[in-house]
Amino acid sequence: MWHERKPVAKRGRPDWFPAAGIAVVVVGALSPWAFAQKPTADLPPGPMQAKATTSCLECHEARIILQQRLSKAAWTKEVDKMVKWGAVVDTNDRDALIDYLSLNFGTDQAAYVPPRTSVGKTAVKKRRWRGAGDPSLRLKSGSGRDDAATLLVCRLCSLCRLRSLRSLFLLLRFSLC
Amino acid sequence: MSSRRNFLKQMFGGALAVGAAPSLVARALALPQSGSTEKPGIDMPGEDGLIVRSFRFVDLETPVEYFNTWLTPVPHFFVRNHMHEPSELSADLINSDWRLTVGGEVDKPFGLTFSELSKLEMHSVVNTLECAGNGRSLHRPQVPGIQWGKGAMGTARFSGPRLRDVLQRAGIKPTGKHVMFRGLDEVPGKVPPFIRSIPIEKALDSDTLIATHMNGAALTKHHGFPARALVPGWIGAASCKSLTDITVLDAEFVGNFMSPGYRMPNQPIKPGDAVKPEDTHPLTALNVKSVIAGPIEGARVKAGKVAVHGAAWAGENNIAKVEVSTDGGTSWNAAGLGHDEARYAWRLWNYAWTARSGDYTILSRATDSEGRTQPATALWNPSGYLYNAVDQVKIHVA
Repeated sequence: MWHERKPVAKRGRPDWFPAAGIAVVVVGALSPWAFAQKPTADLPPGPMQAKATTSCLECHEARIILQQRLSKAAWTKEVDKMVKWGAVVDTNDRDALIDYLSLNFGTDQAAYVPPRTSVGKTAVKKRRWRGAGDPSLRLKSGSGRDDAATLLVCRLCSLCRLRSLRSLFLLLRFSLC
Repeated sequence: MSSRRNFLKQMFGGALAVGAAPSLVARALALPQSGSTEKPGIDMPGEDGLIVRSFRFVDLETPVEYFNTWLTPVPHFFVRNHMHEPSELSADLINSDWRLTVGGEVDKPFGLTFSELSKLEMHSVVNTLECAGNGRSLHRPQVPGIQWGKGAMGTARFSGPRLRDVLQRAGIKPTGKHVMFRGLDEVPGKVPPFIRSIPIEKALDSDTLIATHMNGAALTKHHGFPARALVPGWIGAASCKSLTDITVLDAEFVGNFMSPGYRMPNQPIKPGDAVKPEDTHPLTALNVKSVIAGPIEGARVKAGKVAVHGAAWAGENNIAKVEVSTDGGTSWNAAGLGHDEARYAWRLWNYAWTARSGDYTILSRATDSEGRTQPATALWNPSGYLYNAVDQVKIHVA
């Protein structure tokens, strides 16, 4: 029973150590830092999900659709424009596709909340564009320094949680950058 | 039994602690607070903490809280693509067959290798680049397109040869009136290619560049490697990325991205009104505009000194003043302007507010050197371009 508690004898190494160790390894591996989010989104379920996926996502990802909030008239225009631009939609499916989009992405739906790219992953892979890396093709002054300085100030400012110091940093940032 | 239970309990506790750690650390580091920071991000090398409007093709927005430095670091700089980025472009520019060709209404058409382009005299322009559709999601009724919030913009130092040096080498014929750009974007389906043109006067301006560098480093793929047009003060779409063709034309280019794309009705219209193409004009310079970078929407701050701060810009004009209202627009206070300035770049601004507890609507309003002021409501238009209403955030002071 979970509510039973027995006094735990003190030992050299706390008895939670192995349990915590396993938890750290298992959950650490599953934590957001170990697993980034799937880059592309899916269309919502519905009778036209599969056909819409084939017709629309050939050229662009689902978020282009997920973020729209349009009337049926506006969706009709969009579908017809996309067909003109090469989307393959069976004539018999056109109305059903417009209904599916209007139902899921109508003007009365709550706004779509988009994800973000990972924070702090600013490092570009070592393999540089050769044209860019060639010293003869580089700018003579300030190569990358603009970014290094501003990112440093950003980091310093965001590290500081004390409001008074934060204000000071903000002022510094304001006058420096 | 009991020890196994304890073990399980401890594992559960440890799991909670480790699971919570990223969000706790994220809070301790004061990472961007709004939106989905609790969820894992999407890994995209070189792009840091940006809002993903679309992953394929790549459209990324800068969260407003990053608008606190005069130059926006490239990893925080918004990305706009109409179609797929070039996949076949060799990173090895020295040996690649990449050429920038200059032709059309010129006496001597020619092509440049990247090495040749890099040997031309370099110039730098600090420019605020803003997508014409920035703020589209704020128009009512809503219109189709990428639903940008407030952050499809940024300021960077762009460097490269002047476009006019290249055009003059080719020799512009008297018939040359517009300059067309074409890039390496990969066109999906039967989508019209992304081709646009600018008038010859703007092309010959000494600040219009063929940029190869951004903030002192070579352009990244997302920002138009290896070279892009940089048409300062104008909508982002004018500054074509991954440039390959510069063609002098005798008239404005005819194509989807010049018309009906990127045009504004000549007269204000109501939603639902039909607009004839001849009653529209192409978008050029940006509007007067300001944005509040902090406090951010929904923030809870402590009573006392609160720095209300942000950025203001006006395309080809200068910012004359920025005013801040902390009472929903009843009274306005002058904000201080940052000392960094350049013709086409935003000015940072700051207003030291002494806040008492309560709920507030904070507004910012910019006025430019031509006397243009941000309106209370932006001019609605069918494609949702040039949103520039007075900015506002709602916050709570405890």
